[in-house]
Amino acid sequence: MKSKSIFLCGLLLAFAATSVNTSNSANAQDKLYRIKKNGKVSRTNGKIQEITPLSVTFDGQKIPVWEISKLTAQNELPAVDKARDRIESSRYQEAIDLLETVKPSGNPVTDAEVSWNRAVAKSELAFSGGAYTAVEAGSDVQAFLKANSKSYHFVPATDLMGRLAMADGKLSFAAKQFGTLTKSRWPKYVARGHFYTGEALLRAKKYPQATAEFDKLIALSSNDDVSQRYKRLARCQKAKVAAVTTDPAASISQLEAIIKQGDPEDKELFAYAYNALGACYMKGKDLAEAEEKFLFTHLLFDTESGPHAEAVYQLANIWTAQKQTDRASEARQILNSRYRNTWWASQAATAKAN
Amino acid sequence: MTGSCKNIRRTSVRIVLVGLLSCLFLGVVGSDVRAEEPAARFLAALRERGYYDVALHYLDGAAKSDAVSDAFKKKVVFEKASILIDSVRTIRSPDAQAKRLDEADKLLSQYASSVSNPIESTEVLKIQSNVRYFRGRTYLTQATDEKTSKDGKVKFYGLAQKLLGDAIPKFREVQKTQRDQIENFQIDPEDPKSDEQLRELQASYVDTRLKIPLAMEKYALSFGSDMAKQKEKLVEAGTEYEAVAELYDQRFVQGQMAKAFAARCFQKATKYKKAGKLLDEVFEYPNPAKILQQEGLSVGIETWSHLEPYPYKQVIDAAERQVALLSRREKANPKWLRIQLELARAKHEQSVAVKATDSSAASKLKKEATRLAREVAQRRNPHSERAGKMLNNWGVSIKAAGDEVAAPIATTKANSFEDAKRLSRDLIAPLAEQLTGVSTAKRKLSTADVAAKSDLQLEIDKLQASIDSQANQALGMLSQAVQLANDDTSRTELNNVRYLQSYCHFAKGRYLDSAVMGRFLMEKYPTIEWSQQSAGLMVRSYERIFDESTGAKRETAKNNVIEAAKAMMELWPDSREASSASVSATRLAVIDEDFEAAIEFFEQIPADSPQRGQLASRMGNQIWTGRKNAANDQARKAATESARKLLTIAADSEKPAEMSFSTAVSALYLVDACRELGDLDEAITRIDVIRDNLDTNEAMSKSAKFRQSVYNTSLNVYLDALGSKADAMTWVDKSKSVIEKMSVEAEGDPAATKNVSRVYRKVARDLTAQFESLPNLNKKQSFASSLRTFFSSIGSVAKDGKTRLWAGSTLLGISESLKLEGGGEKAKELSGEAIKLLDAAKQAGFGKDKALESNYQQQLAKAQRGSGDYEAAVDNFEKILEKSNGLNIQIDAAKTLYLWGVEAKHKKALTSAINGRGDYRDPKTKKNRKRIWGWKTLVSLTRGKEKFIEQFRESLYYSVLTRYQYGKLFDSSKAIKSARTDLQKALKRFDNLREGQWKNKFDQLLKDLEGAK
Repeated sequence: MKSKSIFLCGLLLAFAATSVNTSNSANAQDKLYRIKKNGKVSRTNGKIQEITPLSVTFDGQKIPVWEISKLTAQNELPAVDKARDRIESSRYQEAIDLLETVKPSGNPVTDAEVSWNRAVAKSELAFSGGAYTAVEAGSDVQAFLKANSKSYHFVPATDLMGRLAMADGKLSFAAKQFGTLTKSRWPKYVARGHFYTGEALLRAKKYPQATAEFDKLIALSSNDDVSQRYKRLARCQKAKVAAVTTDPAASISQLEAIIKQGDPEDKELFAYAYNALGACYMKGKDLAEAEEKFLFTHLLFDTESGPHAEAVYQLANIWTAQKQTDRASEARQILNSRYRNTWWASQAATAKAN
Repeated sequence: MTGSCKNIRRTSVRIVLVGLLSCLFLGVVGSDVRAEEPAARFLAALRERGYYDVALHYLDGAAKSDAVSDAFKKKVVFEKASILIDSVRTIRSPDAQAKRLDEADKLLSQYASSVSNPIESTEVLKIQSNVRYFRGRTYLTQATDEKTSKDGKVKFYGLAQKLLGDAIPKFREVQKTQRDQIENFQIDPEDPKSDEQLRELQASYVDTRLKIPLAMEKYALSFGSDMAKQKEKLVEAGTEYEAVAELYDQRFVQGQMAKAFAARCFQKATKYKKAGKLLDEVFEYPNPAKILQQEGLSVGIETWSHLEPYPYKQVIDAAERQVALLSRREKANPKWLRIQLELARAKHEQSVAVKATDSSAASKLKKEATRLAREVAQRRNPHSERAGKMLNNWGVSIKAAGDEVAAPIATTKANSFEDAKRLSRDLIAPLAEQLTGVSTAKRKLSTADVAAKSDLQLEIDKLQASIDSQANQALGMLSQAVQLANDDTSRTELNNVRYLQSYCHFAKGRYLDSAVMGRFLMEKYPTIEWSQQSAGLMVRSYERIFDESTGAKRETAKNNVIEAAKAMMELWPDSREASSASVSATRLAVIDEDFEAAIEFFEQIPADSPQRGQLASRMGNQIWTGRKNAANDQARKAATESARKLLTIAADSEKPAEMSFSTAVSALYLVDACRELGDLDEAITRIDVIRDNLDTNEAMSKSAKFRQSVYNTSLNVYLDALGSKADAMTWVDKSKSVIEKMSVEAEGDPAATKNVSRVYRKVARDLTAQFESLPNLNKKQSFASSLRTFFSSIGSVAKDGKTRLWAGSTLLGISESLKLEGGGEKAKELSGEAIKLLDAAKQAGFGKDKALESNYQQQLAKAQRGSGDYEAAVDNFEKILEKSNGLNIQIDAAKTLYLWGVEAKHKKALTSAINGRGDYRDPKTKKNRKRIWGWKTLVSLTRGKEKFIEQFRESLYYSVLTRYQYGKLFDSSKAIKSARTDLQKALKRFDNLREGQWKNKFDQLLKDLEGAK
């Protein structure tokens, strides 16, 4: 509830449209990097006039945030941009080190950029099992959200908060964060919000609510690439919920149809579909079939980190049950090294503790 | 199956590979079809991980699943058999192995009965035979195991004998069937895979051929204690191997291996002399494969010791080079160590033999023998004890005196920072020269012959060992320097020590360590002296890592070089290090085909850098050759322009007389790029320079292929000029001189002659196209005059019938085209010249080439027709048709009669054009026929045949036109009426007549007929 209020407050503040004081000089040269329709990015020099979570007014033109690749204030230090580059190339600790050298400038845009990039770098390190825990990264993100309710990073930050909460096992809080996204009017995050709300509810075993959320996503009128992608994944997850709660046989047919009709190059879809199939067979206590399905994800679609972590977790359990200790320990090792701070690793740790 | 040819060791011992390769052959592990489960990929992944249990479970389900393709389902049984065979290696119990192989065998039999393709079916039989062979071999291993009881041995020998005895006739059956299949294989010219399939079949046959003696050898060994029988069978196997070697040793490594295996059989059968003789032949193969050398030497070790006297010369000849060329990893292999020990023995024996006559040589040999034996003795391996005993017998210790040298300098204690630094500098000073020595030797290694390679490798190893030792000592001393540094030690001094550490790591080949130190200094102390030099080392280190690694490591190294180069250009823009970093970054970007980044770095390289030209050449060449993949014309043009810029830098970076080969290639590409961009003047200047240096520049003159490319490009340029520039004679002369050179160089070389013919055809095509593209008759007539001169010159230059025929027929084609445009007089002139060229061709002769002779006759007839000598032309056509008939010749003949009739108002010619001419009695059918069929017969023969639609249109058109002209010339309204009616009927009946060029022709003809009385 709290986060929702923060978001709404942010929006209200944005509507109040306070002008951002970005420069002390009359010839301010802020830079806006805009994503063109062909995917290329063009740079415009000018003046930032207003920032809201959904748009930036630049030289009199209101630009939706999803068209913005980067925004830099005229006095931004080179270290900030270098830090962005480091994040781009997954060198998160270096990004954090660089940002540590930047002192608060008094310019809200630059200070928000420093704070946002630091939060992103810490979060990514947390996801990859690095130097920070999800809680540590989460407090940076929370601080960013509190201090920058009108930032154009506000919506992605809410999403990041949700993902961190999910990794930390705070499923209810995660669902709320993702629920906030569904009202953001940013098409990509609306679909994503529904999907991950459903996912958080599924993991919390709130099956009817999860199904309802996946249904909402499937019923969305938007038909862009991102929405379609989440709709396809939602169908897999819906079948998974149905298998767990009712008859796995019907879900198996649905999922097999998805696999038959899908493009095997769509690794994300196949990974979700095979994991869902695995869950169906787990429900039916057919461990050999379940093993085979999770192996599909493990062997062929391991580039999809989310579903791959789940498949490895499930395989570790199956192999333990089958007394295939070498394989089980190999799977646990993958879980602990590649997916240390994930929900699935924490589940494995909890099971071990019990 | 190709893989099985390359690695004989695997095919001979691992049935697993046969299974896998057969999968490939049978197309089982193919690409997954969209909209289906990725079954093949999943199965391959399971096999790769060794998850055979899951794979078998999956295959059981896949046979009934809707999610997998039908094609995959058909192969399920075969796949299951393959998985069972693969899984055998994970099972320890021989009984369980046998059970699994039995199951696989049953499945293969089941699969074989469902296979309709005979080649595939034979391949399955081969795998089944392999299963038997493998099982027999497993029993043989059990029988020879010391732990097996006496009864057990008898049992296992018996089982092995049974299975191997079964496998031999089966392999023979496969061999016979495959031989028949190869002999009767029909290559489908329209199916590019059929040729490949034949090659695979041939490779599989060779593999089968070798499997037979392999099975025979094992079969012989299965006679265990019956030594007489075993020896007899071993001799049989050896003889069979020899037969394989005789057939294939010049072509396949299998053949060469067969000889080594034959030696092995004779050695086991105690026929040592025979084995020794075969080994001599094995060691004489040029550039033998490493595995062959190892096998030959291993057999040799078991053979030589039984020969009297000990053949030390033979051993040294066979083993010396191979041992000298061993890599560090190979030196750890016990098999190679055993060979090294034998070499040591041989050298020692030789030293004893020559001692009396040449004591100095003997001493040298003994030292060498001792060194070799010590290496073996000092390593932990199964032969170290034997080596120790050998050294003991020779009266020398296992450790060399040099091994116990005085304490290394690194253990000396330095008194101060300066002292440590001075001592380390003394150690580092010789490293640069030694590193240069290593680089030079490595460069030479790539082109050296075997003997020189051995020496070079020894030199490299020696130098590197010395570098490693000195660098280690220096590092120890530098470490002391760091510890001895105090508050008074300046940052610059410390930086210098860090730089020296980085250099030592670099010298040792510890590139990452070196790079890390360099990076540290660059990032932390960019303004302090020595950081710049360290950064230079860092880039060199990352570049070495890039060159030596693959995958993610390589990618990271590349990114590091690029990032470092950027940083260095910013920090020390005009420095030598920044320039070198730009060179490295450019090189790496080019290798990864990231030309955008490459050009960005390239522009940072100073104009006077010696590497600039080389990099420009490399980039330009790659961009030029890759531009054909451009997405559209615009992108292609941009790539061409970019390539031209770089190629110009490359071509101008070296003097033409001294140009390297790669720069010469760039210079040639530049000519093409200029042509493509329409800058003909630049293209001419550049190609003239290349031609002027072609015979004197060593790099250019050596490559026949390059020379041919120069000639081709020159012709393209000069022919362009001929079509667009004044002074036609200049271009004619230049082209003539190129063709003359090409022809002279091609003499006696069939491939080059073929290329010359190809060039002729291309020139003919290009010139004809140029001619056809000219906008009006005047221009065409003017161009035709140039062509006449050009081809006459070719006729006088070329001495062979083929070239002259090509010149004549091209000119003739131009003449006919000109005639159709209305340039009758000029056309006649060209035809006259064409006749001269054809006569000259006839004089030169066509050898035994009947096709050329026939082509000549046709061209001559057409030329006579073009020059107005219709009678001679028609006679000639009759002669041609007497020897070889053909639809197109018939059409040409009828057309000649028509033209004769119209131009000379020759009534008989016109009626002959319709009804044919040249009566004769067909000896086969005993019926009267005509040599020239005429339009009437041509129409009836081509009517309604899709294949001959074009000929039908032409015949019908001329059939009507001839009657129309007859009606007009001889005032016959009947002929006109019949022509009109026929055309109207035909146009109604055949709706595909008025298509393409024929639409206007038929429309005009109908209009003329409808307007005629």
